[in-house]
Amino acid sequence: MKPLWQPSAELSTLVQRDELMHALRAYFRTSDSLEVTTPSLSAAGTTDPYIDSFVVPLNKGCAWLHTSPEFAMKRLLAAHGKHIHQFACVFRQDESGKHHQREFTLLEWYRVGYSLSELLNDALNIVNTACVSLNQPIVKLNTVSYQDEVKALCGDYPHAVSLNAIVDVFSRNNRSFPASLIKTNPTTVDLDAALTLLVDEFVVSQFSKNALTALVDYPASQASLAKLDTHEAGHLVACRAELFIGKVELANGFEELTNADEQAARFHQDNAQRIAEGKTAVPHDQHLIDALQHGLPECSGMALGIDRLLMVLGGYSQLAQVVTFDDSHA
Amino acid sequence: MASYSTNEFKGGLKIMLDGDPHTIVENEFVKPGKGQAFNRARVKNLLTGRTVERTFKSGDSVEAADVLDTDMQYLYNDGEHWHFMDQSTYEQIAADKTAMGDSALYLKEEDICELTLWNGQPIAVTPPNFVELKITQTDPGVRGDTATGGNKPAHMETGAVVKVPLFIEEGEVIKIDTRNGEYVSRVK
Repeated sequence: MKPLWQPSAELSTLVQRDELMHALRAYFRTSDSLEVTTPSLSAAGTTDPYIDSFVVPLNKGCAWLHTSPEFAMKRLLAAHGKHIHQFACVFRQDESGKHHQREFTLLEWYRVGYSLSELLNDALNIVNTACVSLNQPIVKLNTVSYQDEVKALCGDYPHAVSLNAIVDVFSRNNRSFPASLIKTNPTTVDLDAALTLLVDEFVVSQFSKNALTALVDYPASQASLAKLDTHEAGHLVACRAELFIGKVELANGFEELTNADEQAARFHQDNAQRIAEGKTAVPHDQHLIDALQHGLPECSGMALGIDRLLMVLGGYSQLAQVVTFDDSHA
Repeated sequence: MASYSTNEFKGGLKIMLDGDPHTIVENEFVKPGKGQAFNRARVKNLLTGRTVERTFKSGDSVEAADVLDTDMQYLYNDGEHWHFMDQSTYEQIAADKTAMGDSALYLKEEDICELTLWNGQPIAVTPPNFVELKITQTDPGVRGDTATGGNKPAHMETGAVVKVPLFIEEGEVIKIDTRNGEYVSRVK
């Protein structure tokens, strides 16, 4: 065991990381994007029911450390309407493990006028820029539909699927399903949790290690800050994508919701869910709502974990190997 | 009743599942960027030794198993039970064949073992990692073949059968790693 004062990454890894950052910045320079820095501390936090912020006491009151720079960057988009990107250290409570650190680096970027599929091609270019920088073969983009996969596994699209049908898939395959999720009258929240596990166990686990896979067509109930669209079968789906290499999740992207009223309603709904689950409500960013009211240009944006990207493409097994000091000895 | 939340999960934690005590072998935190988090744990049933995977919703709580690991001295075997003594309280405890498993094959009187007690009853006995035992029977080695290759079975005074290099002879004392049952070295 190395002494605890020592860095958790080797010097050769830090050199790789430095080269990766230069290559990514060069990519954005050629694509007319402005690198920005937004505040880490804000008077508002994320209301996401499953992401808990660090709340920092101030001499008067408190402030929230950002869990992604999304709100501030959208305010910039509303003000200036330019492509922007940022490398941001973000902070999330209770996330620690081989593939989680409470503090990690996100590359978050927004493209004005891009649809989600245009953004996915942009993301593929970015991942391939990283592949070249790390001397890895470039990858192709596979697109997998959340809707189709759930239908194939359970017989119904996610919005119509029953909890029993999901649990059946686990029993048929002899996989463990959490007892606490088995309920006679499951709520949408319970169903979304069950779907999340289903997709992780039976869909994501099959993704190729040698390709970039975009999981698209998320259920409308998991839209987060994405726009809704109508699926060919007639129901609503979210314009949201998650990117994976193998089963490691690298990024999350949206064709961004621009409607202020709907965004405000989603914030309130998030907080209602937080309260129902015994968590505290978080003050939402009213400045973002005001910015949307003013007018957010049609755009798509994505947040990509730089540490995970280096981990996966560099052939490392855990994040501790690619950050200077991991959570256990930060 | 004591319980643990999934965020306290780590290797070695003892929990009750389906009425049996289990130990967590490995715990994987499964958390999509957005959405419910889960803990996928590999757990070992301390009674049957079987290892299975169990998934929990993060935040669930699980009953703690009243399982205690304690060092005790091996005294004797009465033909049915193996008797151990707590060296500070002199309290004695008997372990049956199931709890002993293969451990009985390595134990000499007075050895210090780790006993796993569930509700005060022994469910597993772990011998010291290394024991030194005398060979009671082994075939003579082939003369001249002392340096490399080949091994042969040797019967120990306690009942274990260990593969030893050909140059080892009957009556010698050898050091054995009880975790894999392998020969380590000769003891002078």
